[in-house]
Amino acid sequence: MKGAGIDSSQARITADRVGKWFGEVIAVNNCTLSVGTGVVGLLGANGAGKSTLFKMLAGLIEPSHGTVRVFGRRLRQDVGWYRQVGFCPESDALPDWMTGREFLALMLRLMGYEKSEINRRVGYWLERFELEDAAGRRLGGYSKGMRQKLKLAQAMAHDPAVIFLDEPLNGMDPVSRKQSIDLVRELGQQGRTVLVSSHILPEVESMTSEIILMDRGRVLAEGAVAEIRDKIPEHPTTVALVSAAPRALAGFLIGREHVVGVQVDQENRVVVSTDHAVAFYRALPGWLLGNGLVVDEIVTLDDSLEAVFQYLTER
Amino acid sequence: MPVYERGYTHWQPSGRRASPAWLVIARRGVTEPLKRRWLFLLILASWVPAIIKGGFVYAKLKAGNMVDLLGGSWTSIDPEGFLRFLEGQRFFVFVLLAITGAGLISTDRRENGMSLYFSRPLGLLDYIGGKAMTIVGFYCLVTLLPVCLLCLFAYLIAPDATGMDLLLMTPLRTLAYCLLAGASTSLVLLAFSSLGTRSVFVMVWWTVLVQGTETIGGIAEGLGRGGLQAMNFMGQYHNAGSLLFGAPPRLEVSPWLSLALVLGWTVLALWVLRRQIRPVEVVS
Repeated sequence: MKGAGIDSSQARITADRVGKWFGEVIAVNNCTLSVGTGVVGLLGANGAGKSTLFKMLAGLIEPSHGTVRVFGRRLRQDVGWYRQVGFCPESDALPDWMTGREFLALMLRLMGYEKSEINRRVGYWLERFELEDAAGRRLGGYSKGMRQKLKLAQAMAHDPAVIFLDEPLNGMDPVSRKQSIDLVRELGQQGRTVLVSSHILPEVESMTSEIILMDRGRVLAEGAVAEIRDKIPEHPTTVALVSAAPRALAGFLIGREHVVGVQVDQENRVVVSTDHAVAFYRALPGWLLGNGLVVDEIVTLDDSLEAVFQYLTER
Repeated sequence: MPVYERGYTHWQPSGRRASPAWLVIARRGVTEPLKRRWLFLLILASWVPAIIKGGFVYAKLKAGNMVDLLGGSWTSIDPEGFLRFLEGQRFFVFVLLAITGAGLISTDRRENGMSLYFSRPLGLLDYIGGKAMTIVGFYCLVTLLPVCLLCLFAYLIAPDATGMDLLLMTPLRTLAYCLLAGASTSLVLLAFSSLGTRSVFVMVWWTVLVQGTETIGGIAEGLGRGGLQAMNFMGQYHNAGSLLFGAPPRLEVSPWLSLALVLGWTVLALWVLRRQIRPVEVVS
């Protein structure tokens, strides 16, 4: 099954009432979640606990309580399963004294590959990230974007089924950013699980609509952005309808089921507030056809990731 | 049925791997410093005493015991002579290990590299084992290897005079000694390395431990306080080694006490390593 918040028996990554304390500070508090295939964004502001949760999911930090499983296994107790896991850390983490080729080869050797296979994979991934020309140079001379690309390459080079990417686009130029976003989406479409941690909403939005939203150490919501948006009753969804007869349309919509507010904005669009966007969209065509009304364009104004994030975190 | 068991059989982990993870780490740890040419010169210099001893061995086997008068027991080809030779190598052991071992963990910590290692199919034992094998490798390069070659050399010159004891038992004794001392020393050095992120500080602490305690041991001996020689870090290995080589104790401390101290340091080092090595750095 795809996405976040799915039935845990179908999930590749599960966390069951996971918490982490650092001394007297609680970083992650009683989080339960499940992640299936595809790309899923782990979102939260700085200090929300997403980095700690992310590292716990990757088996790099032991939870204070609760259990984390990947493929139904606890990774640190069954390290062989790391062959199916790729991890791209947020921190720089590259040895300056090694060349790009040496570094990638070492990472693959630790995965257990033989020399010929290592050479093949190193060549492929250096080319994929356009690093062939710099392959023989020491990493100390790499730009931040190049180092980031190499970190991504080492996370993907062994063909893992589950990939953890912590702030993967940090320091990349726009072209590399676009290439990396396309690659992440491609990996998700191949049936891999890609968990992307980020605090940059447009970055995540460009990769996926499936999210896990964190705030103050807790998971606030998980699933598709639109579904989550529908479950926030205190902030009705706002939809703009473009019509040649906006006032007639506005008058008709007042008092309809799931419509909690109607107004005509400065651009002569009819702006409708609905407490159930899915039901509203389902009913709208029937209303329009039955009453001879025409709508040229429908735009949902606040079901973006940013709106969901703001509403749930009250920021 | 869970998704991961339904159609992704090629994503099951395969049990076979080209090299064990610890061997990959150890090989990397040995080959990387050897890229520095001056390290080769240092290793060559560490072999000079062996070449000199080889000359004495040749002369002794050709000219008889008269040669012992020249070099003392250091030149002899009995077990004690080889223990003395190993003791004489302590300066090279100290320098070579400081250069090759100080940064083994501290550099990984400084570069945040732990998360990359521990997101691979390897455990703590693989990591520590690989790093320790790097140090043991260099340790054996200046101790075990010259002794084995000297024994072989002596046997080839005069098989009748030396006998199988020299060809077989002395290398075995040396092997046991080097495994014990090399493993213990490497774990202590790694424990220091895991405590910091700068190799230079690790080197300073290593110098204090080896040279500082040897100086204290020497002063204690001069003052007639033989019991304080138990503080001499490297001295305990040689003293405990006298049990293996059947030689008189090297210090005024029981070799069994030295052995207990060596084992104590090893356990302490393992405890420190267990505490310090984490997949990610946790900033409190």
